[in-house]
Amino acid sequence: MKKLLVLLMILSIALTSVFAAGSSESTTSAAATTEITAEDLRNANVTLEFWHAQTGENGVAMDMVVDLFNQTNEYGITVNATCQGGYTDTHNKVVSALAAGTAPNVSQAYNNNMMTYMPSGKLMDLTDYLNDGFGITAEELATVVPSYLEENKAFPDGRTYATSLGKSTEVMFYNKTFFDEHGLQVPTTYEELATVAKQISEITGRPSVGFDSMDNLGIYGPINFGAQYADPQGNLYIFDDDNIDATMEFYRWWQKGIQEGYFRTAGEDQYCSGPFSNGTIIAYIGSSSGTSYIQPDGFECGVTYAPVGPNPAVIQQGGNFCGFTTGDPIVDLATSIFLEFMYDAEASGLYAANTGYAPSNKAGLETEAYKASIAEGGIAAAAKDVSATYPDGVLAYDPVFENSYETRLALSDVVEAIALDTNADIEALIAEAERTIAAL
Amino acid sequence: MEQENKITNPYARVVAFIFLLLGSVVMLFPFFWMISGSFKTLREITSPAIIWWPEEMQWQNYTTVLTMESNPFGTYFRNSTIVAIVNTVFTLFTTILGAFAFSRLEFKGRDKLFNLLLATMMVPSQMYIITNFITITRMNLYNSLWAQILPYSASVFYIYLLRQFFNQIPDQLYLASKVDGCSDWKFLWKIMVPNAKSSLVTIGLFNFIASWNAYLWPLMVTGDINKRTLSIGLKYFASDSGSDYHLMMAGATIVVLPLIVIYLIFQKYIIQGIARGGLKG
Repeated sequence: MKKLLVLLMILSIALTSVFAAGSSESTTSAAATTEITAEDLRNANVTLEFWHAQTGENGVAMDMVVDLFNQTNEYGITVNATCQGGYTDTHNKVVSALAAGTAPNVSQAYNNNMMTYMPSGKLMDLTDYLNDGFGITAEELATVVPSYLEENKAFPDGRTYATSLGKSTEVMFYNKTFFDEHGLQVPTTYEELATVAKQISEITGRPSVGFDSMDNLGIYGPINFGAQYADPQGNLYIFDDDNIDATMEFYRWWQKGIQEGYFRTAGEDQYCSGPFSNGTIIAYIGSSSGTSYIQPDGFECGVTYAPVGPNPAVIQQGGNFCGFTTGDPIVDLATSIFLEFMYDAEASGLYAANTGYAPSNKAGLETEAYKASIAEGGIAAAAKDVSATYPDGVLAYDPVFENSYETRLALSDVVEAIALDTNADIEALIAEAERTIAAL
Repeated sequence: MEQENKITNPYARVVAFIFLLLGSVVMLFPFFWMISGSFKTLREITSPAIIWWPEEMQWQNYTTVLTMESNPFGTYFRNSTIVAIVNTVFTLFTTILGAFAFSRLEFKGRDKLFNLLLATMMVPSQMYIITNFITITRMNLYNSLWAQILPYSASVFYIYLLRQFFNQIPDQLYLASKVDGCSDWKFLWKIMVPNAKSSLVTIGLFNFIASWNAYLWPLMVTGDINKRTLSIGLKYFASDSGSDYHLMMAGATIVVLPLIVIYLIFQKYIIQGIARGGLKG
């Protein structure tokens, strides 16, 4: 009995200490922040290191946003931005830097990459910062695109770890000249898309509609047919009894398009913008941010909303931004202010104006820079205008959980395999995907 | 010996000539395609029809690549040159000393130590990239050219290769020089190194190419574009939504050009080195 009591006491002490530690950890940032004044922040002259993955024109636009922050923030915070290559390069570098204790203050990353930063204990939880007296106000937060806010807290613990500056979405680019000449209707649904694609292929004698991303199609195809994908806790629903019919319906729709020769993937062209520009295909569904690579060869390019299924869902895509704690409450506060600046109307409007991304803040659509860029016209303007004006509830994201990226790839493999083999056995492919996912 | 290797049968000579010609075409075609692509427009380079040479030479592809403020190729070129040259000099120095020690010097556990070093070649470089990164940051060398030079200033593989060559030099030569009062240091630099010239040129060139083409490590240890090298600059033309292939080809031509020049200068030694050491790139 005595032993049992001792055991219980030890257990309770252990549990208390664990929970106490947990609660103090979750309140540290908020408590520390409330003690810091604007004057403290100004006197600290904080300089932040920011790693991003934007190359080319997008990189120039990112520099503009950073310059805007450096010039306008009232706390004298200076941000040094450096491009670290692509997303994979940036991610690898962050992983190494976390191990070395030299992580940047802010980094651009996909949310599934952020999951891998969590065990370091350095990934900044922004939940409390979003509601403190610094950075973005409640009014400004109210005009941020809701699905962006939701995506940035779609982590297993439901906390916010990221912010967004702008997002691309899938849109449909089509050869308007060809459509007009043949009196074709621009499709708005999957059903119409298949019909029009078939009509075009009968004219051209080759696949007419391309899909840039098999990764996206692997998840959003079934969703559009009514299937549920997964939740942030990592429960996969796409192949369960409630969803398999919708998933199968999508796979059959896709297989029919491949078998009858009117759908294709980017394949070795890597992106459909190339074959679309030179007239090999007449339309494709791809990212709104890739317009600089579309150079129509003697035709007018039209841009419209990506066709959807009975359960409309179009992916919002692009990396987000996360912060890393330093242990210094003032520096961490400055980091959160810069991260919240990504939601600023002027910042997101400026970024959108100079890229193919839609602004993260709806008020960004009303900024002079954004309006001027739309007024310029052209494919880029049309694409981001379409991207920014999807009806409510259509834009979607996939939640992140352990191995969410690998799950994505496994689903991508199914649609890819169907595209490569016209006689692919769908059920066998599903079984293989399930085995792969189970082994993760 | 040379006479014995000559093909005397005229038909065989024709066959050999055709075979070598085909080989040359296969080897040179990627270079031709890169140079041709560097003068094309984006539309031409992504055209499904094969365009061997552009209708109009797009010299502005080179101007664009060389004058981008956000992607300073001039600075990258300077950095690549410094890193590749210094790294090659350091590598040759450590390789010569290491190979000599394992080839000629007698000390306890020499062969075991050498085998141990050889065993490290089994570990993929990706395995120790984080460890190297931590070391470099603790030495306060992050964001410097030294960070790109030092970790690759010694190579077990090159030591192994040069040791094999040093082992071919007769022991009698070493012993005779010792009898004549020659020190190990003097023997190394007066006898061994001059004899190993072609092997050293080959090792130097391979190391130079590896250093010149390095991408991941220089990217890892630099945070400032003014400390970066040419290979990283090429990445600038690719993004998640597409690639500027025409600019990438112009950039690649600029990157490759110095290597071709160096190869042409040293080709005699490289062929000798390959022939003697069985070294393949």
